[in-house]
Amino acid sequence: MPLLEVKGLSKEFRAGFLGGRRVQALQEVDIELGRGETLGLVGPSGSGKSTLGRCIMRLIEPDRGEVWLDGRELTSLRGREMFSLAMDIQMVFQNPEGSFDPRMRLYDSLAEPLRVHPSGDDEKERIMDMVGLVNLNQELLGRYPHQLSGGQLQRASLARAMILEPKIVVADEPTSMLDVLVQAQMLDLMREVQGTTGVSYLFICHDHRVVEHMSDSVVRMEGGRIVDGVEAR
Amino acid sequence: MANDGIDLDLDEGGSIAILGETGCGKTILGRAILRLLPGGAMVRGSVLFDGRDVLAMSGREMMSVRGKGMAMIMQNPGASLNPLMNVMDQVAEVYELVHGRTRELSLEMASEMLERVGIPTERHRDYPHQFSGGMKQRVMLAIAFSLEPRLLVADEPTKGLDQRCREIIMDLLRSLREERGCALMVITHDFDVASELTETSAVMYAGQLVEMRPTRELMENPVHPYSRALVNALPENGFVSTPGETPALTCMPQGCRYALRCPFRSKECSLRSPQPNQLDSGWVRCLQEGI
Repeated sequence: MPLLEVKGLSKEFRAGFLGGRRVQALQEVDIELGRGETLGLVGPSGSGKSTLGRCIMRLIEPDRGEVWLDGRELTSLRGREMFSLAMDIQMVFQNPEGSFDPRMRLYDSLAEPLRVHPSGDDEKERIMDMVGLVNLNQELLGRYPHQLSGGQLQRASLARAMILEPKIVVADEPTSMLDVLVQAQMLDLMREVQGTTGVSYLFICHDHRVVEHMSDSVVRMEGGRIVDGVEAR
Repeated sequence: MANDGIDLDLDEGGSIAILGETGCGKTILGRAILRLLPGGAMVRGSVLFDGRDVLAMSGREMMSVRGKGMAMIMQNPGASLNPLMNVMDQVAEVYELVHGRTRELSLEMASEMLERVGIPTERHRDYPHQFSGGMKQRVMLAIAFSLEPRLLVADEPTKGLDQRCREIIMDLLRSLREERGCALMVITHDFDVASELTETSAVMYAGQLVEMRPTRELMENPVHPYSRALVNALPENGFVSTPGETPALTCMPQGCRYALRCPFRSKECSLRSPQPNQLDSGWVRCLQEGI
């Protein structure tokens, strides 16, 4: 049984005057993601890749369809159950500068998931583990986001995503704002982290070369549909 | 110090790419050339445009050089356009104010120019917020084209655009050079842009140029260890990564600025600052012989 199974997921957006213009962002999308694997999601701007990632995370409510994670259906979760979803799926966003509260020091940004979802583990120890996992200098923990580079922030994003030990990380264009060298470092790091922790990635990116480099299998999206699925790596 | 000892020259109608990562100082260089840095910036050295020192010009002289002489398109097209004017008026403004055409003729020429960069007629009266990033960049190019400059400095003209938009922008920049003989300086981190558009490329690291070579040779056979790291990290070369980070411009290491990350470093590298070494074509700033 795959770890994550998406069946017939659909989402329509309404735009324009009185919602007169309709955009079918997702049409009957089916995907599967195995344990410890990476599924690449590739396609041009506006093809629905990000919407799919966000619907799985329930950051956007899908209209129809099912999302099964480890035997649990996610689109029907309510209230408190929904809250626990964060323990299983986390996200890394495209823009590292926009992913952190500018008024919080890095330490507190990393500690926040632990404070929201207390586990009884020692907070400081856990944060030090994560910082080690993503190769971030401990001295940076006292800094604010504007004092960090894009590459450092994106590594911190991964650390924050991993701190609750989720089963899946949805990475939405995690390297498209980074320079070539920093991108290569980030891609290496994501693989390393996967090797150590066994996390699965849903890796969303418009650059097929990056996706093919990172993924066990790749699906291509266009106009809200899956148009192509191939094995990679 | 954001830029340190930059020497470069660009011929009439020529082209050069300044390649580097975020924070290396490449935008500062572009802005310094057009004297667009804030008042607190201390710029030493000289910028000769047509033999005249731009840095010594009066404000009025500078105004006459900017525009028809040198023009720049900035990194974020959304922030460069006037949000309260439709795009046709913004292009027409150039013909009216810079070329002294009548209002009517200006609008007509603006419309033609927008058409030329691929903005359809029915969108000419739209405002910047109604356009996507790629279309805003095309409007910026229409403005730059209509100035008919002799030198265009394009700062990250393709940043954040998808593949199709990138190709359109590159085609337009190429045609600007070919049709009008405009010299082009492209500031970019994108190797494809450099190789598509320029004959010469200079790699910048931590405020210094470290290698200047014909673009094709640089891509095929980079000499400086940092240039090699950049080329190796490209998708076509398998995303090979190099550890370490660029030093902050506020605390530069002694000697060679790349020494701490460099696999070829010797003791000397951290003591002595390398000077440009001539190669068969171009030069490299490195102390190691025969790397």
